[in-house]
Amino acid sequence: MGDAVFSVFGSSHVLPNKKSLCNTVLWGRFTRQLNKIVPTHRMEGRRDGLLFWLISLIVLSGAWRVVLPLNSAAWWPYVILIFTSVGFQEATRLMFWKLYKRLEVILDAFAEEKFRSRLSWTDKMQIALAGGLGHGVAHAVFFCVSLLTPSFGPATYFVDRCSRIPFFLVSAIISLVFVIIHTFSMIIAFNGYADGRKVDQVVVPVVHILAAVMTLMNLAPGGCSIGVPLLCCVGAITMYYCWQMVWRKLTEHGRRQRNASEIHIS
Amino acid sequence: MALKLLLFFALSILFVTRRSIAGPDTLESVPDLQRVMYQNIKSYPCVRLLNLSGEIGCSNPGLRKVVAPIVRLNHSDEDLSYPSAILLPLEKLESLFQRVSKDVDFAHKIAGVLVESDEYPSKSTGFSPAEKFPQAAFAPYKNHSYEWNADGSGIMLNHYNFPVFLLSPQANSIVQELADKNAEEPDLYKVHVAEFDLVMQGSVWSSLPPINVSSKEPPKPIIMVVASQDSASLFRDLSLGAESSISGLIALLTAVDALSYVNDLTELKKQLVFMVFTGEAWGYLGSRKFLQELDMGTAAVNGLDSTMIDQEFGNVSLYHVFFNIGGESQSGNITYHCPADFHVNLCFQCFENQSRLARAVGKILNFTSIAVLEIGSVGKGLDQGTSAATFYAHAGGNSSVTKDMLEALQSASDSLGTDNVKIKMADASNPGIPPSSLMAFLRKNTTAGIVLEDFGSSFSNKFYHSHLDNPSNINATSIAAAAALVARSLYILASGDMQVNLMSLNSIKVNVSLVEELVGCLLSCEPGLSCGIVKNFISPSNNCPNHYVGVFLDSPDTQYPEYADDVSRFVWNFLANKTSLVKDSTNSCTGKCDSVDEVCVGAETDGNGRCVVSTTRYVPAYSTRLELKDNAWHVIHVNSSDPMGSVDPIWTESFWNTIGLRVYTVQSSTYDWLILTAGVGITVASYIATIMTKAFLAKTVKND
Repeated sequence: MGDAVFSVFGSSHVLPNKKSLCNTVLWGRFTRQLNKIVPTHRMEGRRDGLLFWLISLIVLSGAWRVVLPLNSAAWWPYVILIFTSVGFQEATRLMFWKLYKRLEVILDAFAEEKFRSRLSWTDKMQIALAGGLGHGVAHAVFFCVSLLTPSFGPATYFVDRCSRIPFFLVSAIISLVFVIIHTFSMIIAFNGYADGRKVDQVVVPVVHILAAVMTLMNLAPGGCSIGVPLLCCVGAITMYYCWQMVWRKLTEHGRRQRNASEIHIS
Repeated sequence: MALKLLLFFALSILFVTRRSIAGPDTLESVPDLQRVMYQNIKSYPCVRLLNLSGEIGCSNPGLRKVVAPIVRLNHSDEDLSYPSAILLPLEKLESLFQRVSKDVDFAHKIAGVLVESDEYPSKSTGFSPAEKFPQAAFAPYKNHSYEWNADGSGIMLNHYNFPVFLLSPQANSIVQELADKNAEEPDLYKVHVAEFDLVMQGSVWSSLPPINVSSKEPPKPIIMVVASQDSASLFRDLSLGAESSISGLIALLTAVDALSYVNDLTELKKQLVFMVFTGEAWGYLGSRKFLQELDMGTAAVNGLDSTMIDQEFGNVSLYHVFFNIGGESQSGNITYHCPADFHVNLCFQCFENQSRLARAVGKILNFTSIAVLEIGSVGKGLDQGTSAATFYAHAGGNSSVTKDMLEALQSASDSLGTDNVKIKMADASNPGIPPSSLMAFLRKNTTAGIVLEDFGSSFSNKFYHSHLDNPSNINATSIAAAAALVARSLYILASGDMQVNLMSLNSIKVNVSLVEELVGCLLSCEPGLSCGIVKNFISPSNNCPNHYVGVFLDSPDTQYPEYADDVSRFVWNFLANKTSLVKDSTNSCTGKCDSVDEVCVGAETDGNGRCVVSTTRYVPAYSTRLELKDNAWHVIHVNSSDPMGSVDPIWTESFWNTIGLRVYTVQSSTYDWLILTAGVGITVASYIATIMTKAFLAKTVKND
């Protein structure tokens, strides 16, 4: 059976029967966050991020409610759906960035006053991370929470077109992948906007659309056994790209500091 | 490098999704998903019943639901490797139950049984879960091994410690498909299971069931016409009993209808009393209770009195029936008129002094006063070749009375044309009368009667007391023929020794469309009990008729019982309507009527209730061994005056919450644990990765 509604934002969602993988994923993320001693501005960044994204998703779903459910056999209406949703979310990301820029001024002033230093680039990255995590968590909540109740029942469910993997498991894996993608995309995007690198700015929406469209593969019979691993690869690629970027920034920053200190010394 | 990979993926997606996606069956919400995950299966349970000596039927072994994979048993000798829900056709049920009682290991592997439905019982072999001689203990003769029910297997009276459900036709294909899918999946990765909810708690709740109906023509000496309206089955909700009891009921109702058009009934010598008993399948409860009430002279049998009379000549006691003529009775002051059956010359003597009736009674020493004509199974009397109906009279009791009745039946058959309806005597090799309500009457050794059946020596019904005893097992023409025979015989019998008015006799015709309509109303779901003729009288609570008798829900006060079931209320209203003297259409009512002789017919219909002069009563039908005291039922000891009570098992039901059957899919538990471990592993791994990355970054940044 098609999962039209669930693939509105480009993912077919699944939780494993009884043992909720989605839950463990979310818990993993939360423990990760809680273990950081998060300064106030990062915590706020994450909270605001989550709320912001939830609201954007709700607005989007409200707008699309008029047209849905799409009882169509062809795949192209879903593509339109995905493109508009992703476009809206990216526009929201831009708005979020603009908002953040304004906030940054305030935060900088606050930091000067309190800690006698401005926000370092790692701080800014961490804020971006928090924002991305908020986006990812919003996404997961939006799609997975309603599936928690049936997943705790005695039965599981296998979709016709994906008859080897239980529906709930596929849903959980896709949610996990999207949390990863969103989290790291935010870091890449903020860096792209801050440094003005066009490549970074373009990569983020492209990856998002790619991942979203990739879930359309689940609509084909047996497609989920190709689609889901591919999606995991996309997630891994995003993580890798982000790591590459951070490493570049690290080395760049390290070189600059060394040059500065050399100038200082000499 | 990453960008190249991304491009590659984009292209592959476009390629894959170009294939058209087949028409979606979309799930739009989580409740939709749950509905698809859990399919409720419409089915009929075999429930547990209790009696004095133990229990019968089926139930879950404990207090929990039973969940087991659906497996099809191909050979009856096959072994099961794990507890499963067995799917099998009806033909194999008997052999399965026999194997269960012998093979304990096999019995442990059976978690539940699902029986496939069979729309048309066109089988040559019959299926009857009742015994070979149903309710043999009640027979008035000693030979209890005579096989009245040749197809009987007796499986209904055993106890099974697992749930058994009969699938409805719609559910059949669903469950068969699931069983096939399970067979293709040997390693149990994905299993389709059935969840049985047939938890039955054991306590005695209340006794068995509700109401009989009796009605009569305006008073005269008694000829009782009797039929029964209930049946039993292995699957309680499918107790139709088309041939075993309802064919007789429909014949009775049709005969009443035919007689109601005769004008000179009031001039006949005898009183016709029509009785419809229920609870007969569970120990002849209706007939026994009726006879007990008759003995006690309760209000239920008001208008129909019976007194035991000692007479001067020896110690024989008889029943002698007194009656009230409508309109003349006042409370406490009963006027006796002459029981003018055979002996008009006794009239003056009985007027003088009722206690001197002894003398009068002495002269009618050799005669019984209640003659009973029971209409048994009459749905299969039609001979396909000649299209003539043949019925058999099984006689019991005083032979002079039965001789008169047989002569009347023969004359009736002659008047109908012996090519159309034949009447024959039952086989002389029979030990006595077949299982019937007459057995209860014959215990009062002064009644005599005939059971009219469509078989001579053993049941022609191959599906006695089973769910397959449905309209395809009977023939409306046969029932109409029986009704005609009965109606005319009653007219002849009731004329007594008067000359029979041949004009009136030949004008008694049976309405065949009424028979067909009643078959549709009482034996099928379309139109079921919402058919026109039923809705004229009552507002039915259920559309599908079911003739399982059920348990008593309130105290046995019987004038206007609220808990009488739909069929009883319909029969009551129908009989009251047809036997009423004056059809007063202006007097609308909703409950009681003004005069004590009037009853309100059609009280439940909106504004169509009318008061008519008729004597139609409900009589409770529960075991004579039970009495209601202080709002609780008690079992009373065996009474010597109630010989049938000593063999009465006293049936009751156990408690249950809900009964249901649903199917869903589960994954084997190894995979469950595997996925949980993987999830926990990912959590732990991401935690460690976070810590390590943080430490690494902190170190690198600090170093700079």
